[in-house]
Formats: sequence, structure tokens, C-alpha cells
Amino acid sequence: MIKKLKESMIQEGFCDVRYQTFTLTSIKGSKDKIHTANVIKKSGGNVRVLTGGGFGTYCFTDLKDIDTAMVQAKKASDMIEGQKVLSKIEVNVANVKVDTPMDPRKISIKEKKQLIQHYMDLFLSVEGIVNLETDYYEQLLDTVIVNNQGTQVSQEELICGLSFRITSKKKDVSQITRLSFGGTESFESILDQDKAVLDKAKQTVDLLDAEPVKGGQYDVVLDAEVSGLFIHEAFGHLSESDNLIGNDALAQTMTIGKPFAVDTFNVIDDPTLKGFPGSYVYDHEGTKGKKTYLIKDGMLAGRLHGIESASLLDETPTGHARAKNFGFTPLVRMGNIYIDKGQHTMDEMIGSIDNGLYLFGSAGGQTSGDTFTFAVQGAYKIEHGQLTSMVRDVALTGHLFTTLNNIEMIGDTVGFSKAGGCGKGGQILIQSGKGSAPIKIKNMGIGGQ
Amino acid sequence: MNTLLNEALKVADACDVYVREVESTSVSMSKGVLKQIQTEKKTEVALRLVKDGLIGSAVATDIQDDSLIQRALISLENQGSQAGEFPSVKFKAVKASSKDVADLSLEEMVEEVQTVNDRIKAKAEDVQTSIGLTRTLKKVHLINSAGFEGHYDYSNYSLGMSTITDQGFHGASKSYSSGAIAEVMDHHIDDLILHHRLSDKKIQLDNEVMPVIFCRKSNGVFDVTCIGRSQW
Repeated sequence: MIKKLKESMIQEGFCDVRYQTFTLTSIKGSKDKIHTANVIKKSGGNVRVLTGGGFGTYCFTDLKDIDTAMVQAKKASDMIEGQKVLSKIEVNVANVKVDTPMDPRKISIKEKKQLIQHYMDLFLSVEGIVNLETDYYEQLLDTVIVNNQGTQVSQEELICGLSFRITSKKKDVSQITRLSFGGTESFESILDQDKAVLDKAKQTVDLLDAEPVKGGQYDVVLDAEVSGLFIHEAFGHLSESDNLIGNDALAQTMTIGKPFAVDTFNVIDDPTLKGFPGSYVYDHEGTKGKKTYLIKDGMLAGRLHGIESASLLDETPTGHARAKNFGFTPLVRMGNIYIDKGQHTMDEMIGSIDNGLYLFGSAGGQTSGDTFTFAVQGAYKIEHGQLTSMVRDVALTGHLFTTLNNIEMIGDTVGFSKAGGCGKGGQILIQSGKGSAPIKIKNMGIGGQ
Repeated sequence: MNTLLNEALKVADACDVYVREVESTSVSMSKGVLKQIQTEKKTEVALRLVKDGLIGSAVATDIQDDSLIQRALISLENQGSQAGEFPSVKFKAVKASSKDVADLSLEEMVEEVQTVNDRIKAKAEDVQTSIGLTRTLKKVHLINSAGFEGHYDYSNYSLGMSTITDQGFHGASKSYSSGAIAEVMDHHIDDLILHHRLSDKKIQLDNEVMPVIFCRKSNGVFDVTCIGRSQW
């Protein structure tokens, strides 16, 4: 097939083709029953041609259409005024295969169902748990990328994970929490999780007796999961350089060297870390993924690039252009973004707060420009430097740059979320990781009663 | 399709085969400059099998995919879904496609995007825009082992226009999606500009309790995500 892809390539300007086979195994359950078990398999290609002022692209599912795809993509590119040239192309030739201690593809669906059913039964054995949504996913993306500059990369990307959405209820109060395992290519990380299941079930029930939080401004400590969500949603997307192209105002805001936070604050995106949702070797343009400092010593230090954004901004491609599958063109996406560790222990951060909150567990959120709103699974009050009672129904909201400036302390241990997932341009990418050290933020807006 | 149906019936009591051929073209413009033109031509296949009162399904992008029947059986054996009966009824055709959309050329799509941009700029020269137009055509075929055989054509014309704030973020937006070519109304452009002006003058509210009015869309989201999910 590689021969066919290479032969179809036009030599003028820039041209690449990405052929992918996407296989997704899903096992889903509601309450105590598994109701879905299926294997989806799709194959197809995506051609990009740049001979004019912008990319012409063509997606196809029948390899016989590849010559038409080249012609039509070139026609589309030529219709776009101008002549854009890509000057920052990293040429690679490689073949990357999955190499994992416990390959989920070698475990039968029957065995997977037994394990999942066991966890479901365990959750529902806890009094007060009234509903459970369960989702096991196992995705293999088998990719070939060829371009007319000499790149020829074959790569397997495998990820599996198990997520639960747990609901407890007592009288008129209900609470929802989430728990995830995996987010990596090994099935091993999904095994032996009985304690985590029972702890989460207990926490979900305990939240029913918690008081609703009183809205206001608080000094807060965010756990690694909430901090990871904050840095991904509120800052990470602004670091995706395709958002800056033709957007002078945002480019001005994101000027390299600009101070954003205290000088102990560092934000990194690193797809080369092994074993997280956003780990990979090559991106979907065939560029090697690179560890990239986004904020270093409190100042904006870099951004994430694909070939086009790197060429236009005259910066190094970082290998962050990825697509959900062949049906989509690559966009600049985060790999594993995280706030790096600082110097403070959790006790020091909690101990520094007289009246505040410790927020745990992300529960989704959204950003609008430079403002954000996130829900969390719950919180503990901090009173006179001590964790006291649990509170529920907590959301945090704020302005990104003010919040970054209000970060006062950074914890000494980094934790990563086991659940990937990020949406952009109509593409939900499960291979996107986020993590953080816990952080203390002063004067955070908390929504509640 | 009949070959797949007959192959499937060797291992199943009943089955249906659904094939969808999709052609789609998208044109996007930002700040008056054409940015990208995307085309797709894909085939999507779905097979459903019934055996011993259970149903299973699988999808593929190639009707000759060797694994399709096997994957449908995996689904049937593992998810335990009870099957109904595939119908064989006469149906009345419902028009779901527009010749105007089908005949729309790439050049005409580019011209339409430019025209919408020009109309907004004529009313508010300082407002920066982002415009996207997508034309989608589908041919859908369905056959089943009960004797049903049908097909229909589908078209969709989807146009989105949004403004870009001084800070470089998306401001106001308006979108159209229909089977026929949608007409961009003058008063929609006026509303877009009005909401853009309002969104460009955002103020930061303190965290406080106050009466609010939900717009229809927000109310819908509230109903689905808050009230709907609480009905366990």
C-alpha cells in the first residue's frame, strides 16, 4: 500500500497522504447490566495538497479514489489566493509498533466483560449508589504517513481505558462522581482496582451528607486532577499555535517571554512520556513529538506546533498535529500537558489557608475566550490550616490570566488523569493527557448556594 | 449489498444491510481570506444480524470487509440485546434532497462565502468574521432479509458565520442547516453584529446571586444536563 500512496503523490508544492485503519472495541453498561459490546473498524485516507494559498484536502475510504483525491485537493489549494510555503518540515522514516507488557487485544471480550461486570457489581454493592454508567474503550490507530518531502512513517497507537460515572442518591439529594483506569496501551492498569472502586463509591455516598458550598471568593488548593483540567482547558488550548495564525490579538497576548505567573511555575507538554493518554512517538504529519516548555519560570516559553504553524511563525515543529482518524485533517493538539512539580508539600499548602477549600476530582467544564467554569466532584473545607468537613455542588470560575497570577504555591508531586479526551474542531481525541502538581490559588471564584 | 446479505444469512436467522455513500465539501474563510477547502467521499456500511432472538451489529467503510460478519457476531454474542423483527413494509418516499444543493459547484460555494462576508462588512466594516459553508450529499440504501429494499437521497446545506473579538476569540455566531440552500437574512446579520458589539464589551461579574433569564438554547442545555440527568 505504501508503494501506491507514494506513486500517487504529486511533486509540486507540499503534499502528504495519511492512510489509517481505526479499530475501536467498546463495552458499555448501565446500572448492573452490560448492554453494548462491539468492534468498529474503519479504513481510509486523507490527502493534503499545498500548491496555493492554503491546504486543499480530500478524505476517501476507497483506495481507488486516491488519484482523484490528489487532483481535487490540488484544485482546491490552487483556488486559495497566494502561495504558502512550508519551510519547517522534519523528514522522518520510521516504523513504530505497539510494545506493551499486557496487550489488551490478546484478552478476549468475554474476559474483559467479566472484569467490568465485577467492578460494576462492586459499585452497586455499596448502599446509596443508585446508578452507574460504565464505558470500556480500546482503540488502535494503525497509520501510514507519506509526504513528497521524503517522510514515510508507519505507526501503531493503542490506548485502552475504563471509566465510570457513579450516582448516589438520598431523599432529594443526588451526587455524581467519576473514576477512570487505564488511559494507556497496557491492560495491566485496569486490573486489581477493587479498593479504588470501593473508595470512590464511599466518597460518592459521603457527599450526600455534605453541606452545599456557600458561593464566594476562597483561597483554594486544587488536586492534580482539577489542576490538570484547568491547565488543559484554560491555558493549553491557547498554546495550540494554529489558533494564533491570522489572529494578531491572540498572538500579542501569547508573546514569548511574557510573564504569566510566579517564577516557580512551569507548564510542559510532553508526548514522549510513556504510559499516559497523550503519549505517542510521531504526530499525524510524521513529525516526532517533542517535550515542550509552554511556561518556564513563570514566563511564556513556547507553544505547540504542526508543520504549518511552525513555518508561519518561524519556530520549530513540536510534533503536535494530530487527527481523530482519516476523516479529519490534523489540528494542533496537546499531548500530555502538565503543571510541573514545585517545592511545597500538601500539608504546607493546606496549612497556609485560614478559610478555604480543597477541591478534588474534575467533573467537566468549559472555557469561553479567556474565562473558564469547571465543576468539581467535591471539596473539603480548610479551616485554620486543617481539612475539616466535606462540601458538595462546587464549581470554580475565573479569568485565565488573573488566575495564573494568583497561583501562590505548587505541590511537590505530579499526578496524571487516567481519562483522556479533548474536543477541538469537531474532533474528540481520547489520546490527550493532562496532569499537574496540586496548586494553591488565592481568591478563586466559587459558585454554590 | 445482496452478496453481503446472503453471506450473513449463512450464520444468522435474519439481517439487514445499510450502506451510505457520502460526499461533502467545506469551504472556510477567516477575516475575508479563504483558508481551507476540504472534500470527502466515503462509504459507510452497517450490518445487523439476528440469531436465536439476539441482535448484533458492526460497521465498516468497505462492503467487502472480511471482518464485518464476524464482528457483528461478536456483538450479538456479547451484548445480549433482544432482537425484534425486521419490517418489510411499503414506504412513502419523503423528499430529503435538493437539486440546487446537489448542483452547487465549489466555485459557487466560494462565491457564497465571500458574499456573506461582504454583506457583514458592508454593515459593520470594523467587524472581523469567520464564515464556513458545507455541502453534504448522501445516498442511503437499505435492504433486509424480510424483503425490504429502499433507498433515498439526502442533501444538507450548512452555513455558519461568526465574529472575532478584539482579543482574537470567537464573538457572536449564527448558523443555518437545512436540506435546501438557506437564505442569509439581513436581520440575522443585524443580530450578529448587535451580539458582537455586546460581547466585545464584556465585564467581569463578581461571584454573586442574582436573577437571570435563560435564552432558549441555554434553557435546553440546562434541561438536558441538569434536570434530565437527575431523574434516576
